[in-house]
This record gives sequence, C-alpha cells and structure tokens, in this order.
Amino acid sequence: MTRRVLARVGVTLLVFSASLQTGEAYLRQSSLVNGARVSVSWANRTIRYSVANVAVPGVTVDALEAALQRASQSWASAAGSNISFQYEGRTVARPLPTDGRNTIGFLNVPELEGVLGVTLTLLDVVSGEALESDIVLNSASEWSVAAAGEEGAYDVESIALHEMGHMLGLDHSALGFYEVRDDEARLAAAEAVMFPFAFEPGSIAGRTLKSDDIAGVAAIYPEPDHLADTGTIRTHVRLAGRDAFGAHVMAFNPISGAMVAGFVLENGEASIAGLSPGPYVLRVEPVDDDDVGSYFDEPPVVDLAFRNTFVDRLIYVQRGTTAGPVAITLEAK
Amino acid sequence: MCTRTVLFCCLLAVAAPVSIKATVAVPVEIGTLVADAQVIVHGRVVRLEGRPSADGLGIDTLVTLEAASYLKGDLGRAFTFVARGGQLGRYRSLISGAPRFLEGQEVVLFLGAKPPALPHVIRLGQGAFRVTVDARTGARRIRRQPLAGNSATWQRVQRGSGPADGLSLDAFGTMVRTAMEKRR
Repeated sequence: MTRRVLARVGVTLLVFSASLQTGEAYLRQSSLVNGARVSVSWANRTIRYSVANVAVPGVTVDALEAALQRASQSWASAAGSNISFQYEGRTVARPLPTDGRNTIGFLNVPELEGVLGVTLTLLDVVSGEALESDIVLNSASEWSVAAAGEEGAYDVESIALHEMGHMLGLDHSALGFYEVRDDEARLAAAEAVMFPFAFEPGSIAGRTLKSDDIAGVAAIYPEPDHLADTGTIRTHVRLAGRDAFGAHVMAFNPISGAMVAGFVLENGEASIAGLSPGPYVLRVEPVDDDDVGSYFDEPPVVDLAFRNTFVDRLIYVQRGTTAGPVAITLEAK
Repeated sequence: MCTRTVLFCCLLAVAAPVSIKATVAVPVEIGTLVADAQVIVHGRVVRLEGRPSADGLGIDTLVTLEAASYLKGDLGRAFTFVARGGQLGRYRSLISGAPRFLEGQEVVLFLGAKPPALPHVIRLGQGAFRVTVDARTGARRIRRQPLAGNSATWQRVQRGSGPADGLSLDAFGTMVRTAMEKRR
C-alpha cells in the first residue's frame, strides 16, 4: 500500500471517528391497524402545552417553565422541520390524559421506579392524529436546572427535550450501547436524544438535539423544501429466504458524519429519509440488548438471530431522490 | 484504496465509544431487576383487555398470564397484571418504552406485586423478556441479552454478540437464581 493510500485511510478513520459526535437515528411512533402501520402526528403544527403548578426540591415552577421553553425552542429550531410550541401558562391539573389539555409537570408515580420521564399520548389509531399528550417527570428522582448540571440530579431540560420528542411523535432511537460490571449497568454512549436510557445524573449533554433527532422531526413535519433538499435510502432486507422484521439499519455518511437509522418493518423494508446528499455506509444489526417489543407494535417474530452486516458498497444519496431499494441479505447466526 | 478497506475502517470507527447523554430511564443490571421484583414468572399471555387507567394515566391493558413456572414469588396458575398503554375502540394511549404484548406470546416477566394494586412490569420494557419456542424441538430461548456483569471493570455489551437464538430459558433461570443468591 503506498504512502498516499495509507494517508487516505488515516484521514478516513479520523473523519469517521469525529463524525460519531453528530450521529442521528429516528423511529416514528406508530400503531398497527388491520395490518397497516399508522404513524402519529399532530394535525395542528402549533402544539399548546400547560405546566402543572408543582415544584420539587431544587426546581421551582418558574425554573421548570424556563427549562421547558428552552427544550421546546430546541425542537422548534430543528432544521428542515416546521413545528412550534405555544405555552399556555400554569394549571392546577395534573399531567394526566383525557382532560383535553397537554400538561407537563412533576408527578409521583411509585410504580415507575427508575423511570425519569414518561409521555402519555392519546391518539386516534385510524388517522394517527395525536389528540392529547402529557409529560410526567417522575418526582421520585432528584432534579436540577443548574446551568452546568448538578451532581446526583437529573437535568430537567435534557429529560424534557427527550419527552417532547415523544410528544411530537418520535419513538425511541436504538443508537447507543451499555456497559456492565458486577451488579451495575450504565449507558456508555448514545447518538440521539431519543435514545431510551439515561446516562448518570449530573450531565447536561442531553440538552442538544443530534442530527438523528433533527432528521426525525423533519420527517414528520417537513418544511416545504425539506424533501427536495434531502434524499432517502430505501432498503429491502431479507433473512433465510424471507423478509426480515425488526432489524436496525444505520446509514452513515463518512464525509459529513451524519448517521441516521431506522428499523426494518413491514415487507422487509426500512426507509431512511432526511439524508443530506452524499455517500453512505449501511450497517444492519439485531437489537438484542433491549426489549424491541417496547419500540413498536410487532408481529410474533422480531429477527435477532443474524450477524451484524455491512453493505459492501457505498450508497450515494442525491437531493430530492430515493436511492434503492438496496437489497441486503442477512447472514443467520 | 478498495471499497472494502473503507468499509472496514467505517466498522472500526462506528465501534469506537463516544459519550453523549440520552434520557428517560436508568438502565439496570439483572441483579437489580431480580432484587426489585416481587415476582419473576415465565408464562403465556392468554388475554388482553384495554381499560381506562385506575390512576388516570390514560388507557391501560389488563394482561392475563398463564404461568408455567415461577423463579420468584407465586401468583397462581393464572393471574392478571396491568401494562401501561392500551386501546379502547379507536383510541389508544401510547407510551414509548412500555412493553407491548400479544396474545399467545411467551414471556418472562419481572413484576412488582404489592396488593391491593394489580401486579405490573417493573422498569417498563426492562422487566419484560420475550421467549421464542422452537416449533420442532420445543426449546425455549430468551430473545435479548440481559445486562449482566461478571467483572469488576466496565465491559461493553456488544449488540449482536449474543449466542444464536439468544439464551436458553434454563440458562436464564440459572442466571436469575445466581443473582438471587448473590443478593441474599
């Protein structure tokens, strides 16, 4: 291998490593209705919300309001999307569904031990329209709004940013991994605010949307030019002579560093939209370290018994077009 | 430089750890799940019924489980637990991260069970392990890797590195019993 080629390999590695800081992935919330998947979204692109008039140690209602406004502004500023939030003031109502109001606030739910926040969305499964969405921040945890974070306390803005993603219709991302040692587990890395688990308390890194989250919200509420400015990769994934289901497909752009992922759903297809033009590496993996049945309505079998698989060529995405379908055959374990 | 070399470089890069925070729940090791659960049961879902949640948290699903065996506690041959989220008519309460069940599905569940409240799956999806049954041999396997540490130092859980078809139900049971012994 010549010195020039070695240099190119080095640069490539450097770019790929650096790019992991800006990864992306998304999955839309959906419901299976008579075999058809109906995705969740709001009919009105201005989402109104109120704040429950409940404080917890370390977080006044004023501070909660401010953190929520910052989080909502982050989503409203996401490139390529057209969605906004409108704050309607405080309420004595609790953040519970079926009162016709989107309420966010602290609530003690003892059975949700170890759960920091929950978003409860009521939807019409036929149309997919979200009718109401409430966010519970579990008051059993320690909370903080300190600008630089606070040791031992979870950051309100970070958790609220994640939960507001659910409010918008995003489900969980699977881009992340864990570490374990005797009697302990922790999240080691995640590439999306919508990853379902928390790092240890004190961090404020979750206040910033990743390109994954941005692509996700833009897919649901696109600006008029978004589809013309970006491209899509479609894949058709098969395993053991049939269409696969539930496999996690990641598209990674080695030039820009964008990493977007989706799941293989019906007909063995995964469609990853909102990609900036350029070359992409595709990787398919089984999500065997989390309960995939918590991600989406599933058929009885989610495919997990296959090897991590790379597509052995770069897929080029062009503005306003769809690349593929890229045929991917998984190797069974 | 050939395309395969580039792709291999990508693979190495993608495997490298980064540190970015995400939210919602706290991941727990299997020992914590074992300690927190009052009941650990293997069984089959035989009935699902949506209902308005008793505590106002939207729509719940009452899940009836036909128990095959217990690893901890005992709720009888069949019992009903409550799962967050559910559907009534054309309206559905959706909670990302909460386990969703299907009739006929086999599962191992880690349940909180403090009467008079109905039992519930602890820590949302973390307390639910789906079981596959080999139609030919009847062998039962757990589909996902439990987060289980057996080292004093942090070890990465490699997605996709688990054994083919997951962990046998017997091996999972042994893992749970070992964790129980360790916590005594």
